[in-house]
Amino acid sequence: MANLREAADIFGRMEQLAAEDSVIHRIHPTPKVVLTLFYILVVLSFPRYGISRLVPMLFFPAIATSMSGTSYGPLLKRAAFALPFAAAAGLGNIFFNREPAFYLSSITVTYGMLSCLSLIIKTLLTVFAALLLASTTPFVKIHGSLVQMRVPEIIGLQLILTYRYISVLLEEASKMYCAYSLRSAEQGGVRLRDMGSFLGQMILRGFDRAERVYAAMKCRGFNGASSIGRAAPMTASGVLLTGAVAALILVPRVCNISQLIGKFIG
Amino acid sequence: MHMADALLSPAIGGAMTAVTLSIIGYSLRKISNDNDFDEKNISLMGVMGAFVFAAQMINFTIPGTGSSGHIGGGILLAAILGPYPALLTMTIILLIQALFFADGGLLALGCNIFNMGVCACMFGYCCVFRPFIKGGLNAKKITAASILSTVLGLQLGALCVVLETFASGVTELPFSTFLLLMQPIHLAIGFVEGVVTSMALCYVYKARPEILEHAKAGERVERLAPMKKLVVTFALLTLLAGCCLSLFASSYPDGLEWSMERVAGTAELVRSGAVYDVMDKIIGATAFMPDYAFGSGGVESANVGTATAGLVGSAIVLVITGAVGYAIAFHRRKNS
Repeated sequence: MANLREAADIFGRMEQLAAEDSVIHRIHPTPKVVLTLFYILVVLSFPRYGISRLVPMLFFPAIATSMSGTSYGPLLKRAAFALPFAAAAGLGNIFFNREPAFYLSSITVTYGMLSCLSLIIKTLLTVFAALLLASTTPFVKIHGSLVQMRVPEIIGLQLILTYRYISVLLEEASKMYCAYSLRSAEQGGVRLRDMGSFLGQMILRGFDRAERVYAAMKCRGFNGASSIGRAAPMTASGVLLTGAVAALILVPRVCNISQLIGKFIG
Repeated sequence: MHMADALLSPAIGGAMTAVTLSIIGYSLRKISNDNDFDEKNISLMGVMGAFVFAAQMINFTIPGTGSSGHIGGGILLAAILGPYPALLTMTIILLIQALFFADGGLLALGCNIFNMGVCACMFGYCCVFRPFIKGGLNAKKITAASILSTVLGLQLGALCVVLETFASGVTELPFSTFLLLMQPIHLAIGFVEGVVTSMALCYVYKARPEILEHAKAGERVERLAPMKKLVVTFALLTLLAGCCLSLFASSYPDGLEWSMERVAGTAELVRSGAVYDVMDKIIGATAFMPDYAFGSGGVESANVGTATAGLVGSAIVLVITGAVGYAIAFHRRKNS
């Protein structure tokens, strides 16, 4: 998990990226949410040793990223944060499954190596897909799409309020942390014995803040879920396009494209 | 303890999502039956969610180890908001973390909510924390309840991570080794997190006792779900999850292959007909590296050839993907 300032930066950057304009940004949020989930599901359905079948799945996020004009760097950097746990589980496979799968010249490629690589590729692809969704769709639109998909009102409201409060609380926590650091130089973090009062203060400030924000919202006419917009209904062409892209995503799953291309030249 | 999507098979991810959704649905029903719950509480849940989000980023130094940790926040939320609103708040936090911070995944959301939300807010709070403070609140009770509920909640969560990963079949670590890697480290983490949670709750209790008293008074809501009912629900859900896990962890085909087998009668598509004959002829004509010259024939040679075809094909797909992506980006830059 990033530190406070980094977290605030990430939020800011993602909001900036989502506010840009491109073909991908202009797509209705519901197909984007549905297709992202479908893509993740298909990626995870690949067998654990099927590296070559998995590689063509890279095509979809790569094309969507290029079409959206989003830089690969920040998204890849964020995706890499998800790797340690998956890599640890994958590295275990190398040691526990040493059965040779095939030989490349004098190098023995084991099934453990294949499953480790497959795990890492799957992690990167799925995390990248989720990040791409967040960086090409403003959060309010994702929320609108969830409301359209009949997500309960209370969850929708909570989602949008928590999202809005996060930047406020991050700023508050950042100020408190800065003040603490200035008072206790050369500390790697908050001392364990101070953590109780530090968090306690944050909770009390959060309570007061919640009271004030709620009063301000009511003054401005807040009236539950009806105050928050929902996404526009999907058109027939949108539904057709979603179906077509879903079918395209399914192609690498039912047909080993890498091997087919390999056979063309082999 | 956030699980990434890649650590799960679609079957386990789907089964756990279904289990978690049913628990969230149950929590929503409990909240809607509570007449005292209004928009103001939703606003408070939002702020507390943001608080836990920010608090998770503040690392505290663990004395004598040179390392640091951060709180999970499940018990803290449940102690202040009550178990059902706390579970919903954890759900939202985990969704935002998955979307913006690559912490956990969208398909793994069901598992993560179960491991970090249900285990802490429902099991840790309802079965451990609440019985401790039943007679009345004081600093000693809060401390003992916080530490024990956090440790047990985290242990259960870590055990669930092991079971879900193992049942998904993505790791080849033996079950016992994986368990030995996960449980002791989370015992230590749970203890320190429990101490920090207890200190924070004691601070709040001293400064504003009405906050915790109010949450405790929320027992009226919880009386609707007595302990016996809760235990039976947990047992049924565990049984359901267990059945699903064992069913899908067996040697049966995966979901898509299963569907194909039902639809087409085979897990692989049969290649026959004029189109495939034409394609085979084209492949024969375009092959400029016949058989890659690996092995001396037989099954092993065929495996090597297949593997090499896959490797070379993958490399070409990568190059094509890169080239198309670059071309689109170049075109966009040129036109902007």
